[in-house]
Amino acid sequence: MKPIICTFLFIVSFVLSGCKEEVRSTWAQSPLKIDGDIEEWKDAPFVIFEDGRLALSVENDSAYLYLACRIGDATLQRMIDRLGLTLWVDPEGESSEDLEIHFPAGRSAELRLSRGGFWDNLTEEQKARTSKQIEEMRTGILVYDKRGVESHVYPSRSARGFAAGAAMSNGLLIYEFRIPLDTQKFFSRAGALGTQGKVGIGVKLSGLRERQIGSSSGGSGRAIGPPGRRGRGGGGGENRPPIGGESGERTSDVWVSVWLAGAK
Amino acid sequence: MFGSVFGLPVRNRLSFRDAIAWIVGCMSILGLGAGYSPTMSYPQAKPETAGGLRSSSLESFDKLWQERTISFGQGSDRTGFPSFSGSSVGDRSERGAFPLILHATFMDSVLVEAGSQEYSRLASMTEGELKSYRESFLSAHDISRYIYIWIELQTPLSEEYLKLDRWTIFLEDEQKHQFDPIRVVEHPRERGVARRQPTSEDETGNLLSERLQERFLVAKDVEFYFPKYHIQGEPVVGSEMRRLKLVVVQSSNPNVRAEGTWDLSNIRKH
Repeated sequence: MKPIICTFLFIVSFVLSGCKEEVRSTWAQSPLKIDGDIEEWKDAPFVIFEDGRLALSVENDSAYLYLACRIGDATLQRMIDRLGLTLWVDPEGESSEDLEIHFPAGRSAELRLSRGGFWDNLTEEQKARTSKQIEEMRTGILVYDKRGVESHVYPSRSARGFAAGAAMSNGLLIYEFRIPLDTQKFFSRAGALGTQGKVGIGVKLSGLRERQIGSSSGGSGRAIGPPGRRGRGGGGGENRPPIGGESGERTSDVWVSVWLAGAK
Repeated sequence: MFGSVFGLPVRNRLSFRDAIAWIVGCMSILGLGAGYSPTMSYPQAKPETAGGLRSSSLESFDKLWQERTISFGQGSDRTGFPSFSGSSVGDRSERGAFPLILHATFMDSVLVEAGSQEYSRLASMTEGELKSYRESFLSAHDISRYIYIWIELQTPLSEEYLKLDRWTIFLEDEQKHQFDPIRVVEHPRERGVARRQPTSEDETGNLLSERLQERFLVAKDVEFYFPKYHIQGEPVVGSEMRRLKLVVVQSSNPNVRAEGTWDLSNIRKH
């Protein structure tokens, strides 16, 4: 009898671990400023993942999806600060990685300028303009549609379209993203977001710190109240030290199904 | 074990640095650490939607560059790239021990135009500036008269290996006709210039690879200009030609040899 119960529990836990957390987006009363400042999100509910090392909150209006990521774990912060944060957006609300967002574009946007002799053919003034453009690309937001093998680097602080910002606040690394719902206008093979009422959002954590994060909660998460109520540092366990003794287990990417909010 | 290899004295036991250097070379030629790198250029896109600072598509400059680039040389009898082939040949003791890594790009008019467009957008050129830039480039490289090949030479060993007088480099067509370069322009690079871009999919491995390359590789860019026409007036690269070979042979020892082949039908397809 005991083996049967164990098998049953194993199957149930296995199935549950594959389920994505569902998150309800909050209607944004006015367009959010994308600068990494958590202030605008102080009343928004965050969902916590990875034992508090990552928390997500989502808002939307009729044009954009706004996403805030809080990273509390110091090691994860260092790795993301160094490598940038990678998101996936699935218009169908599932877990497709076809549409990938990387911020900052960093070295992904670097070019071998000297190749082919094109650089040497530029005037000094053109070289200066090119260098400035390259620098802007490094701090831009890279969006990549794998279906169409198409990618774009956008200025991170653009007034319209894709935008992103990052900042440290009270020991938390904050990333903010603005993702247009009409992604098909940007990528010919992408579908519009929210036509099914929900959008799948994935945050890449795998490969970032396989040896650092101990217990992995995978796609499971729990809703908590707004961070402002928990005092300095975010509370709610986000700054807890790693548990599980640096066991070296694989860290899963975090996926959520976001139900978009309607206009109030 | 070896008295000398490639005309340079060789120690009987490899040092740790040498061992790492060879590993880095092999990683580089096999494309390890390259992984995903978004290929980007500027499409003619609406500014508020697709365009952005830089964009990519299948027709982009990076993609065209990749299609026209063959990589071959050190420690490699095969490569991981789809559009080229390469090999190192020599006697058994030297096979796979070719000291150079070569990345050779066939600079045809399609690639030159894509590059001009790419750099015009990067430099925010006006139409007039682009026209002038294009004319200046075509004049400087004279691709109407020459086959222009851009080659990145790398080695994890001594910079001595980058000296062109050590090597005989020529093109060979399908009928085994060989063509020597008419003009060669060298662009020295300093140690530590990594060729490949990091990836978003293999951060840790790529960072390691990139750092090893930065530490150990020395490199040089060279423009090679080969005749575009036979003496009889026939084009060297005719419309029926499927493959064109680039051969690199050590001048003092023909057994030390590497070659790479462009699949021209693959290039013309696009």
